[in-house]
Amino acid sequence: MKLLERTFELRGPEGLGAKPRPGLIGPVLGRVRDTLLDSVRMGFLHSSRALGRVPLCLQGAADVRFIGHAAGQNDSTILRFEVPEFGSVAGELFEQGQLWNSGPKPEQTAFDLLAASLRDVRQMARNSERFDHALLRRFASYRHLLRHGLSSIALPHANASEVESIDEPLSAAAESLFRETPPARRVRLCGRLDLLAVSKRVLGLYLEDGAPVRAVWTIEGFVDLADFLDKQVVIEGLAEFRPSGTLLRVDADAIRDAGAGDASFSTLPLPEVHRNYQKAAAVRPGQKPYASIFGLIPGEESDEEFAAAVAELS
Amino acid sequence: MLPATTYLLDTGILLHWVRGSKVAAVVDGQFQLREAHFRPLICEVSLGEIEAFARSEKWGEQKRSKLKELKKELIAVDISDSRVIEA
Repeated sequence: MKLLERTFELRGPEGLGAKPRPGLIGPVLGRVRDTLLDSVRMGFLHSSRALGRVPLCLQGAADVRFIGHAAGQNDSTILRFEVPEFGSVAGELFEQGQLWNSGPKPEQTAFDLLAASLRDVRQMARNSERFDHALLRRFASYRHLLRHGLSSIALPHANASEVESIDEPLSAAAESLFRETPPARRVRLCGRLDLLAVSKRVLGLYLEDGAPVRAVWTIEGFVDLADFLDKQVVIEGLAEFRPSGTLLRVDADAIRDAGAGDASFSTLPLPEVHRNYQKAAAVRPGQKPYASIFGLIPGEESDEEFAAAVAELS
Repeated sequence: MLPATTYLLDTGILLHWVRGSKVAAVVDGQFQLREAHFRPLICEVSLGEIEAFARSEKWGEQKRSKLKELKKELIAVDISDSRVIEA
């Protein structure tokens, strides 16, 4: 296994240095493992909190060890970690090729994926594939630390042109994107099952118009899906959207052969539109819409006949 | 006092309302809808149900013209809107 050293550089208004207070670095250490695991899952699965068991190879890819701390420049504190290079700890993740163009590379580590997600959040990349609702919430939750003695958590990296960091603007950007992201909703999709990535429990299908859809299989029995390869299938699950409203992925929990009438489900799902009906229903002062339609369509039939006809509707 | 909220009308209530029936008068007595300064909300399914009603009752040209006029006054709410489902 090839291990690489990566660091967090912590800064605070009162300085930290070589002897930081435990209360400042403790919460960071307590969160680093889950933050990296979420970033790894996001990179490989497009899902930072994939339901079900976390594949062992992904757990290994996010395995981080604290190896000490030191004083940094300008009274900062450097937290030193060791993490495995993806290719050395989870080679099977790359054996079937990448389902996404922006997928991780064998020479990368969990810190690289975290930095890439942070970069997209800071740039408010609403169509990014590097974060989802849950990861945005995690980034936003760092605000608590940033209000209690820390001003930034930087990820210095020798090969990176810019140092990414978690700070107040980043946390605010994450919260803003979190609010913009449409809620997940259950969908049914019909398409040809083209890909099964066993190690990641990911499946890919093409809709009728050629649009690719990626789904994460959230229940047991993934290997049984091989029977459906290269066939027209219908999957069901929870669609997760990006802040832009485009489909990020489907957390699938059902699959069957497509049948007559399923073709109508071969379009990309859209998020629920949250119209402001209160605003839409408002009128100019003086207007009385209910009054203007009261008795607008009088009838010739008796009240009893009318009531019976209306009752038949229900 | 004017109603400060919007209402989503059931198809049956809407049909009674546009007929100006006794049922509508009772509803108005309770909610003072004629004084409301908001457009009526209806579920989009109601649009289809009203159309079905118009066909079954063999509405003529005059009534159909009024129906078009009516639709301009209504705000149709998406049936999949969680606020409708949870209401």
